[in-house]
Amino acid sequence: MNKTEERKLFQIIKEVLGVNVTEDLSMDTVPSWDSLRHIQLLAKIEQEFDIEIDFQDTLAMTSVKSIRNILSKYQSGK
Amino acid sequence: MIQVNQELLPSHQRIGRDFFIKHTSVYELFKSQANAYPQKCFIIFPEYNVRFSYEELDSKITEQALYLRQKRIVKGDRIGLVLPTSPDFIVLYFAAFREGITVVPINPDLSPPEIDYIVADAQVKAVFYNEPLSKKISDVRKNTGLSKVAFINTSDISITDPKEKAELPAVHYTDEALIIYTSGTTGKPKGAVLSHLNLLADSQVISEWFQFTPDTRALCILPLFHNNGQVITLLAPLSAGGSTVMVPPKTSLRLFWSITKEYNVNWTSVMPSILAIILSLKLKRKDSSMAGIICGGQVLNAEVRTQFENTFQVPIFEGYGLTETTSFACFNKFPKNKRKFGSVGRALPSNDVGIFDENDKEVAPGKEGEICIRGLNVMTKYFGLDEVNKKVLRGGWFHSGDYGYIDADGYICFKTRKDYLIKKGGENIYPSEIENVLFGHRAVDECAVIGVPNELLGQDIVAFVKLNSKCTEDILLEYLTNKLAHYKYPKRIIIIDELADLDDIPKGPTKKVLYKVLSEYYDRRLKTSI
Repeated sequence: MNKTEERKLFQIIKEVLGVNVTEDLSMDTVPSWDSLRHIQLLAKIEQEFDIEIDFQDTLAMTSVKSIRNILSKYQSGK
Repeated sequence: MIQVNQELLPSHQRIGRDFFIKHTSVYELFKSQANAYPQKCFIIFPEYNVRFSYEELDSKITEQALYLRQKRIVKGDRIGLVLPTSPDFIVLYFAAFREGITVVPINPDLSPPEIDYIVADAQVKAVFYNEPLSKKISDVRKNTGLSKVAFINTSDISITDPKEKAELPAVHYTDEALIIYTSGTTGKPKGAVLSHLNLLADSQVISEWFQFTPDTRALCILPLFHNNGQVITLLAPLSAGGSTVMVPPKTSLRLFWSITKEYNVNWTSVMPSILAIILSLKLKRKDSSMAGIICGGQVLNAEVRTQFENTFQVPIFEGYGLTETTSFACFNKFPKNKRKFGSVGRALPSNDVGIFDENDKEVAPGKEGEICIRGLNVMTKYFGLDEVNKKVLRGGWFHSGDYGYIDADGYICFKTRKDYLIKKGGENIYPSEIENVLFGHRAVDECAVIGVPNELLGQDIVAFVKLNSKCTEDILLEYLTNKLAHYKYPKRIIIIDELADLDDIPKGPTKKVLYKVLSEYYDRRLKTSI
């Protein structure tokens, strides 16, 4: 994932969760990251990056780090 | 079959007929199924890529039970589980039951002071948590009042080769199994003490009610620290020798039908708000296995039910119950053509439901009153609250504080929730919990918190505050940070001093806040502007 894409991802996370984004943020550390926000977040990522996140990846996307890593996988597979 | 000796039970747990259970403890139930179906898959955790057969899980449970013994946690002790839906939770849960240890499940989303309160109140001997919660737990540990409590990170548990013979301690069905904390009117949560009998009776009758079989595979999408997740989608399938798929509630809603298809799920249990969310996501049903959805915990909107059933062609079975009745105490009949819409169904075989007036006299069918329940699934008591117990368990009935009526056919119709309890996304929130914290801000003179309608969550929270000095909504919202669990944060804090047509929080002659008047004001003046 290049820097522009990373900035775009961080901007989406910031907009949806309403927090400043750092690498170590996760569902366990961000109180506002609840089930509804998670749905909104993944929907926005799918829309903005034009991808469809699969079953196992959805379950694993529980932190900024994991989202970035999984997204990179989709980017490289495009 | 074991005939329950009802002479051993408090009067509010007795019913005027025989009742039989198949096992004397929850672990004995598990062990019996493990003997009958050793290789059969019992539980799947897709998030962890873990699945256990009955036999495999039994082996883990035995190892963990020995670990508890090594830590000198024994029968009669209590452990707190501050854990998400995970293999750790399940193994510790059954290991504790095996040893006659009481489990106190604690919502990991609670704030450190809220966790601290439950740990102290339940007098737990040890608290188990996982690595992501270590920061929060270190804040809890700062309370010197908990210096005797062992805090154990599950990643530090080392299972030594079991030399000790893991003989089973005698656990009787009247023994304490669980304490589940539920919100209280005073703002402090109350611990509902549930026995092995409570869990066995409720899960057994629900399993029979919906004709669960060894082919039943449930989806547990509600959090495990709640009674609903534990009883309906874990213990009820277990009772029939079935299996369950455990998914984290936060990440799984958009995968609802994918998980159902992938794992061939045929039953699940949800709050009405989950049905509304699934509808709003415009998901497509992918499976052909789902036989029915059990629903309760909030009032199910008729429109949501109709839309959901029309869209997905899956029947929804509405019921009613509380933590204090283990899970559900009544259900609509199975199969689907026996349901009565607008009703929460009929009493389960393990309990009776009666409607009582303000003088504690049972009223005639069709007449409204307080919904009272007695039976083998009614909690033993609230932990350490003798005066409250005398009040709510008077006359041999548990007084729910909820209101409704029973129709001529014996179907129960629920009318209103007790007091002004806010039901947000299936979570019980009492206004006083939030008011108590808001009052702590020096600029707040008075405050009152109400539940307002929310399409997805059922209700959301709005606080009204009267100030004694300059302050803003943003400052007050910031003030609540880390003092309350996030789901208890108000959607809005309305400063009364800024409203042109409301001078004060409305109160009655005894200065009791008139929540109803405040709700009416909100509906009339503010609903459309928020």
